[in-house]
Amino acid sequence: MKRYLTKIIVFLLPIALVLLLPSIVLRKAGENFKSIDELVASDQKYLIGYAYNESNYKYLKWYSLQVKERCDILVLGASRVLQFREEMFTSSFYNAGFSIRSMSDIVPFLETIPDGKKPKILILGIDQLMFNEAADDLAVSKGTDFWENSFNKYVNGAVLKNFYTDYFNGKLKYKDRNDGIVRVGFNALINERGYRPDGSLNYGNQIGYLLNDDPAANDYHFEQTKKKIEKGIGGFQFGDEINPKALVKLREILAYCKKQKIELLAFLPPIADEAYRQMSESGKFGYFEGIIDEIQEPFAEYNFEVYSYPNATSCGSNDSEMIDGLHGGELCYQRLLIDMAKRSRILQKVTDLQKLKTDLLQAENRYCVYKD
Amino acid sequence: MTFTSLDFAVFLPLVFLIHWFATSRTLTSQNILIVIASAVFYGWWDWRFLFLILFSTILDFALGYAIFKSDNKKKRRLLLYTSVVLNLGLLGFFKYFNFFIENFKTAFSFFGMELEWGMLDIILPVGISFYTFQTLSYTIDIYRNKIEPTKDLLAFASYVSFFPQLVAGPIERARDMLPQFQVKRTFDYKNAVDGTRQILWGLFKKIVIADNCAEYANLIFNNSSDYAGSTLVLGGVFFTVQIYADFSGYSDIAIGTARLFGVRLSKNFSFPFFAQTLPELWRKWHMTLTLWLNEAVFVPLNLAFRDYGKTGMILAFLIYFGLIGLWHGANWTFIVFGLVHGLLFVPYIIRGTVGKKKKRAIGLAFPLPKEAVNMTITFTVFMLTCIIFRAENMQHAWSYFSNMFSSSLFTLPRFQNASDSLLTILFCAIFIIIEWIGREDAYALEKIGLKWKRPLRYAFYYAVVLCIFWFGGKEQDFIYFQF
Repeated sequence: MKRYLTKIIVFLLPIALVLLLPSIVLRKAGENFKSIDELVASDQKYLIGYAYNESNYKYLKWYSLQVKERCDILVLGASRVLQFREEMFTSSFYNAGFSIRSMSDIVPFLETIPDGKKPKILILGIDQLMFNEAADDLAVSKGTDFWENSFNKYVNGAVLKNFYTDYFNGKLKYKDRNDGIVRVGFNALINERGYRPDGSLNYGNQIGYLLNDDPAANDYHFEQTKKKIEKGIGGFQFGDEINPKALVKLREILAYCKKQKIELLAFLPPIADEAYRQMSESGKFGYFEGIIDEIQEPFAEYNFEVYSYPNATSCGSNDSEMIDGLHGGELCYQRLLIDMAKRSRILQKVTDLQKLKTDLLQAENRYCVYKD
Repeated sequence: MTFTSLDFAVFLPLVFLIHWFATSRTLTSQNILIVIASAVFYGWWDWRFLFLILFSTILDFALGYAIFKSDNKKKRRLLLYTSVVLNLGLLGFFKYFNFFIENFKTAFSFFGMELEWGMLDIILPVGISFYTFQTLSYTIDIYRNKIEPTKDLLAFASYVSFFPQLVAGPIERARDMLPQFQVKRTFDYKNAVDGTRQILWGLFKKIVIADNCAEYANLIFNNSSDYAGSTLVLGGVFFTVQIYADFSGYSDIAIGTARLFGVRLSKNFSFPFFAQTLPELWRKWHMTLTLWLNEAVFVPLNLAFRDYGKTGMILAFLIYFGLIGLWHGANWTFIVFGLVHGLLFVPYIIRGTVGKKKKRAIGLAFPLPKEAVNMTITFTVFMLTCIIFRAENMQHAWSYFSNMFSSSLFTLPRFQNASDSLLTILFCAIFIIIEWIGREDAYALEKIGLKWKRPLRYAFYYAVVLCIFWFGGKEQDFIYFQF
């Protein structure tokens, strides 16, 4: 027995050492080994921002909708709806942005919301790329348990690799703050970046970098976006035609909402003016402009609403209010919301146009309307 | 808890140390620990299901004794039937109730009658198909005078609930396993080291091979209508490798874990992908289930139908394979999977070659040319039937085949993240090569590296561990838990 135990211990010791440091640090930061269930279900203010476990956000959004009281307004989309905050609405609200990546994810996600907790109004951000077969082939139809199973409790190889890289580069240093906000994950602890209890995203130190014109900002001067457009990658895949299958999927979404008595308001979110110009000039994104014309009819048929904002200017914003090439800041989205609220039958019931305008005038800075 | 969870990584060493340090003095204390540890292991899923195992354990313990004591043939038979009906009744209720209700309703509606029977909201207890068969084997063995009943309820409870094989087998017969809980177990160094190596290999199969294949198999099966025929073939291959690596990986971990406690479990897989015929594949695939059903169902049926010659044998095989399919779950896909295999046996039955062994490359680095062709054909046929097995329902299976056997079969496979799958394909290739090298052993890694110098051997084991941590796929439940 002694021989066996010695052998096992000698064999496992290096592995244990490799695992021990990350396990302790990752647990302390809440990146791994910690459930967020209790925190999400509580009234505690929090900021959940993972550095290595992005898929946990899908679980966060799913779980929030399971345990929170029914919200009147649900925002759903990829990352380009995350700027909507509860302060912008007069009814109960939750932002489930970042839960979906494809048009085919939308109905399965809505199906995971328990009966009786389904929203009255759905604000759906449909990224234009979802109509481009090269970027979204609609093949990833997720089972309804996908979101529930998206939580990485334990460390895996990718987490370990990234952890050690960041650790030895001295990136994982942070100070504990006593401001009553529970921070979970390195992004929240170090970069102040993460999800608020209303599901919206606090962009954290990215805002500071942008305000200071610091090259440390992600997508500084839209350089990465411009490269992606040039190469036709990262959501900017070239495409001439609108994917007809996407239109079929869209009709399924409309029919589902009608059946569930959910009022649907959709919008095509803006990209930076500079990026939009580059795309138009390249002539390789033929699908982009024609989307709104194709989808207006089915929306009208179901008595739902749809609005299109191809670039920052189209919603009264400009590139100085864009966080990166694809994402507008809060000001940009407040302008977009005001524009929709002026025209929308659905939004009239849940927004205070005057308040939205006043808040906009009193904005914190050119990216943030509301204080955290 | 599952074998790949952190909970189990804490649970196993703890139970191991208690077993050999605190409770090693007497058989009773060893068995008490096994029963308690098994209850914790099983109760981790849902403690309420413990009552089911307790019921089965006490029932068969008592019935086994009563069968043995009785000299009256009719009474013995009645007692056996009681055991069979109650055990299979429980299994049937939890696993098949809704399935039968649904099909009865469909059948009656065909004749214009509407049945008002409602479905029940039943949760399937984990591993019920495995331990039901195991407890049944006890009463059947006593009835057939193959074993005598034990008076030691603790030993019997240890046999029924032994945690390494409780939820997904191997399905052990009482005559093989029960005696191991009736003598005090002693620690055997070689056995423990080899068991640990087998656990390592099982984890590699499950986490690196099965979980990675699952990602692509799920993607392709869930969206089969959107993919070209060639991609669907790849989906079938991914799933076939997944189910083998998943289940045989589980079996390796179970057998290896049992060996740490001085218990020997039966081999469950014997490199089925290297089989040259379907009958040979079934002698190598889920061997403990096929052996169990062979003894309990096929042999008696074959005997009963012996007057009908080959027709009788075909009928016996069809029933046998139909039951294998049904055992897997309450879905027509499983039943059809079984029946198709039964039908595929017909040519072998007619030619009298069911048990025939083909020439194979023993000790050679590469398969013989004919052997390679036979293996490829057998794998392909099996893979095609696995598509039925994996499909959501028969309609899905049908549409999968329709899309697969179309002109797009001859295009290049294309799906989202296809380039990422190359790494998985590479790992599958390495996995198959290692399996081929170790094909004559109990498990592939049994002897590989044993003669290497220690640094090289350890480097190899560390490489396996590294792969598990670095390249492990997204955690998926063991497929066979659902059965």
